[in-house]
Order: sequence, then structure tokens, then C-alpha cells
Amino acid sequence: MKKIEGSNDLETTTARINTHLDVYDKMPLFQNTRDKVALVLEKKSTQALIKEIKDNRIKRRFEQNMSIEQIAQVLDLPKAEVLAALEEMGLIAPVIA
Amino acid sequence: MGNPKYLYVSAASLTLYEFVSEGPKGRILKLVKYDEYGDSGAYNLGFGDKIGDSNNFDDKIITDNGDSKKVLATVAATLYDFMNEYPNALVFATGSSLARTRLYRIGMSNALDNINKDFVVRGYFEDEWEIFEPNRNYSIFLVTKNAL
Repeated sequence: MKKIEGSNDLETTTARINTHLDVYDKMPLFQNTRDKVALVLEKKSTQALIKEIKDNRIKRRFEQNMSIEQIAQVLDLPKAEVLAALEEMGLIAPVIA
Repeated sequence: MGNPKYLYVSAASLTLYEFVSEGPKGRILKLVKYDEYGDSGAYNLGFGDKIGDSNNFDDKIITDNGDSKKVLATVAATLYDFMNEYPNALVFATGSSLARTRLYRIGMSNALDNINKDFVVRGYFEDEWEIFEPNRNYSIFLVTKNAL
């Protein structure tokens, strides 16, 4: 196989192209704002904020003497998530199945 | 908010809105879409020029129809309708370019007193979230209903 002057053989060239593709593959592709937000949603700080907002909403309802079922319904959350949050915040004793 | 805005129509789900921008470039159909990420309660607020007859839009196109304030006020109005239907939603928004994100930030800064009556706005700055403050260079915004 003919080598390209100052370059390398086909195998090296292929490796170089693959490296380029790997880098490209890892680059965020901002097709629209949805993709941009999706990247931030994965960040720890965003996850923590979402949890904090949800926990505060649950806590506020709980302090208004709403039942766990009511809280789940009003906040459109699974009952298990409400229970877990209340347990985690120390507002109810852990429920042992 | 008392700013002029366009009349719009919405899908029954109140997650999709359509209105017509009118200006020197003509009548341009705009879409506003609240798109949930899975079943997370987190939504992306996206908007742009409608593509053909689809329910999709181009959020990168620069229409330059001389009505950006009116368009933003209309998008803000849809947020009220959306949040009435989905009060637990976490609405994330950003611009498709730095210039647009800046434009949204300025728009929110100017209307902050009104916005704060109904919503809590947070900004994403250097990998952290904080309560929105005017003149901070946020890359993404998060809007939730006040005192929920």
C-alpha cells in the first residue's frame, strides 16, 4: 500500500479518523434548547435542586396535616416517593414492610 | 403583565401554543412547546418558528420581525396557562444562542416584580442554581409556581 508522504499508512489514518469520531460523538449536540437543558438536568446541582423543591412541597403539605395519599395526589407524585421523602426528612418513622 | 401580546391558540393538553407574529417580515407562525423529560415533572420551554404543518419548530431561526418584546410577552402569557394546568411543573428555559439567552434574561429582569408575584425564578450560573437576580449571566432559567 502506498504511504502518504509526511503522514502514515492507512491503519494510522483510520485510527486518526476514529479518534476524531470519538471526540465528535462525545461533543454535546445542541439540536435545540431541549438538548441544552437535558445536559444541565443531569448535573448534581440540578438533581439536588429538584429534590429540594419537591421535598419542600411535600413538607409544606405534611405540615398542613394532609395525608400521604392526598400529598401524592396533589403533587402528582408516587406515594412511595412521598413516603421516602418524609422518612428522609425525619418527619415520619421509617415504614418497614 | 400589561405588555402587548399576541392572541394564541393552544392544544387541549395546554403544552403546545400557536400564535402569529406580525411585522415587516410578514405573518410568521410561532409555536411554544412545553416538553416534559420523561415522567420527571421537568419541562423544557421551547419556542420558535413553526415548521410547515408539523408540531415542531425551528428555535434557531432569526426572524427579525421587529416584535421580540411582544413575542416574549406572549410566551410569558402561555406560561401562566401552562402552570395553571400543571402547577407542579418545573419549567426550564434557555435561549438557542447566547444572545437569545441574554434577551430572555433582560426580559425577565424588566418584568421581575410581576413574575415574582406568581413564580419563583432561578438561574443557573457556573454549575450552581440561585434565585434569579437581574444582570447575572445565567445560561438556563428555572420557573416554578410560587409558594407551592
